[in-house]
Amino acid sequence: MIIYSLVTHRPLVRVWQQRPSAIRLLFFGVVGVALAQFTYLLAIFHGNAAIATIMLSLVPAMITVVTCIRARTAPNLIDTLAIILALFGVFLLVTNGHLTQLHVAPIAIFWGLLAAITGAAYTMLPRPLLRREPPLAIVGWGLIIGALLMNSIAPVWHIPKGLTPWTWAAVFFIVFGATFLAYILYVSSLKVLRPAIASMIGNLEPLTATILSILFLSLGFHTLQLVGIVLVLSAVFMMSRTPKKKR
Amino acid sequence: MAKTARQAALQAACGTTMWGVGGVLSNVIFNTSTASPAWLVSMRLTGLASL
Repeated sequence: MIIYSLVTHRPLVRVWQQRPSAIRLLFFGVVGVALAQFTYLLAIFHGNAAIATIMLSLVPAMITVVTCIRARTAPNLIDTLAIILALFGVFLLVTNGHLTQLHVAPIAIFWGLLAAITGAAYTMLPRPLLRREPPLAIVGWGLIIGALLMNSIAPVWHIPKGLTPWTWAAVFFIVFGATFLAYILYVSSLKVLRPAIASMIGNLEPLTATILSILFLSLGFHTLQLVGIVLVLSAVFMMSRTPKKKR
Repeated sequence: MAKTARQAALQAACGTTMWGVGGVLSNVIFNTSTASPAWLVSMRLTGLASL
């Protein structure tokens, strides 16, 4: 951030000088960055990676609902169908079609839903700030706030027991590969790809998590749960095809 | 142009697949150690913020 500021001569602390911007940035760092990550990993911890990533696929539906409520307009037909499809898909995933029986731990569903809500906050909260400030400054400050908050809860120097060189390698991959490099690869592809295509490719995240969970974590899904996963992913694809002006 | 679009699609596919792999690796870490979700988030955000 400092190098970026020196090279571009863009002020990094300007966002803190106005009270509304500062409050929004603080909120973004706490809710959009720290809580979004924390709730997602809690959903994995209490459930599994497949359930958590599929629940995260509800983010576009959440954003559409919040946008419509704020604009006091009804979602268009495609969005409405996609929201219903996504909710029905999640219903099948967590119940396997049984109204009175859950196939996923309720606590995992709770954290998964919260991860989807905070994931939507990650997209929506910084929007007004990004109109005035460089994205790197907003994301950078958000990460710093999130890192300070999470280190006050669980400092990085409190090393957990049972970490082998392989698990350290996994931690390293999660930080630099699955977060930093993955984000750069995805965002740089958006310069060329249409949002619909990029969003369709984005479905590879829950698909990868589901397939790898079945292969390496011995996770099993019933037929109706698999139908639910397909419905959620179809809903994401439907929403990505909605004309932008109506979103 | 077609090649560029293919490259971009491959980039996006690699990125999103890595997200999925990251989720499963987090699952493996929780299953095989005493690491908590809070600690892993701290590691993730501290690592990124330090960049």
